Amino acid sequence: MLLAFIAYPIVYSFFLTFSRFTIRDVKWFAAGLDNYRGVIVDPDFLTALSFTLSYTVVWVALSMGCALLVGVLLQQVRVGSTFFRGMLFLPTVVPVTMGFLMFQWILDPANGILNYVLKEIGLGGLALNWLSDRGTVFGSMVAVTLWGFGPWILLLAGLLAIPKELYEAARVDGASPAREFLYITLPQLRPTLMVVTTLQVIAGLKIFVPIYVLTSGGPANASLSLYFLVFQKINQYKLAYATTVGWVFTAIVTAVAIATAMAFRVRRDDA
Amino acid sequence: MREGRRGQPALVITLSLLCFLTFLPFIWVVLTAVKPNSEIYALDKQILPRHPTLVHFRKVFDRGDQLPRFVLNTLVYSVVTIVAVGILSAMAGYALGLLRFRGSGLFVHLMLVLLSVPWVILMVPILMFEFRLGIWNTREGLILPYVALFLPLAIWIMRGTFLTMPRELGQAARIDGAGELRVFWRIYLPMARGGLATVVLLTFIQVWNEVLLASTLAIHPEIANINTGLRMLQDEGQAFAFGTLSAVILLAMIPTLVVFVLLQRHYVRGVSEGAFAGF
Repeated sequence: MLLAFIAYPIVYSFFLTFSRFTIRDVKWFAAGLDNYRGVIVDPDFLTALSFTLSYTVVWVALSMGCALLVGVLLQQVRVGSTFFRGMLFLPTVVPVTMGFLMFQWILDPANGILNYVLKEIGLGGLALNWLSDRGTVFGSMVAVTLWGFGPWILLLAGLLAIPKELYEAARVDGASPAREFLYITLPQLRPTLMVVTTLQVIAGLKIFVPIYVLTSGGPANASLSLYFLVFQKINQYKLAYATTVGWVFTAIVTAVAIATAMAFRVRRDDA
Repeated sequence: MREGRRGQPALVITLSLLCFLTFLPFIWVVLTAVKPNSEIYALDKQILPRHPTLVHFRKVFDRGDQLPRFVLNTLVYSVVTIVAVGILSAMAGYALGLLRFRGSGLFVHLMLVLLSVPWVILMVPILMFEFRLGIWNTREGLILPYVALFLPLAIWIMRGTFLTMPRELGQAARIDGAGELRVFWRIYLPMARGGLATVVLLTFIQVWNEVLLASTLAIHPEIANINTGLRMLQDEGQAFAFGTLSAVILLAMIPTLVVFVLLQRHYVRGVSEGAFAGF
């Protein structure tokens, strides 16, 4: 019975994509594939798709890099590791919108601290309209969502599970920290890395909150993501469009998740 | 061994730097919140406030009960959702983990599918159902989907907790004449306290961070949650300028910070488990 709450809407929603309907009545299967055709040729959809995909690629790469760095630092440090962990964990504790609202103020072109500092140190030319310029909004989005340094908390559990004897043995053999990282940490962490990367890819594809708070998809759709597109269309009562985009999105997420998992498997076979 | 120790100062310095970077936005918001407007918008800016003031905080409360209401709404949403999800997931987890009735395997598989469904495809059906039932844009209209959508992961966690427990305990109690409810309530539930704590914290975190549903199902300012409420305040623009906004942000952080400080260990576990959630 509990499952009916979600399972039924899923089936219902899938059938809706082939129907013509308003919020009150539904003409089942009256639309055929028209909804899908309408979505695929819509320039807004293509813009959102390309933004979402490129954001995901860049953000996942950077956030995994950050997370790995922070994770390894916390794994190696012997002093104050609890303190550092608590501090670095803080961004996760703050309700999401609050974090992004802070950045709106920091990135404000006229009064924000970022542009002020840039001017002070003589880089006034770099003081831009971070959130309302087509050229910078992508970078700003990536930077803002990197606050908190990625999912290091998920990697740390895996890192701390690596047996200490491996490192001690390597040190006896005179291995450098870089070699330790390459030949012990990375191979040992591979299963964790695979799971966390997949989760990050899915999270990246679902980018919504920073857009909702900071740009509303603008300027001129330069930061329009698929999730935000659905939200926009629902608010315009274009329900058929919204549902259909939702299903296209689901197909993409599933495909990308499988591809990520396969990429890791292939690499393991090589090794 | 010596190699490891030699690296330590560098590690501590790097980590401190990263902590500082993490903290920078907070510091800036705190400094803004205590600056008078004349300094916030001055042409020659100062990092530190020259004349610290609490005027922004006073303004937040002068504007009436807006912010307290958003916090209170979110509190109501989280408490009701937590109670419902807690009870239902404990019972379902017990049934799936220890009783294992006919077809429970299928049930578990189905739940895994539900866990991985993106919420966007559910938005429109939920909206349509709520319109027909007349609960769209009401508190119940937000809490019901919350319970339904947060439940699969909670059941999954509780099932995992109950799976680790010996079934013999319950069988022994049943031979002694204990009823099914008594076995659950007196024997197994107390042992599942850890799992339940994770579920509670996880649900708390999810409700406090939820934006997508709240922004489509509860759009009236009366019932907005903390996230959509702040967004509405932000839309008011100049009337709610950066100084006041900073004060709002700081005040709005308090509830989750308190919970974090009190329940740090469970909190981290909740966040880690939450990473696997379907939304």
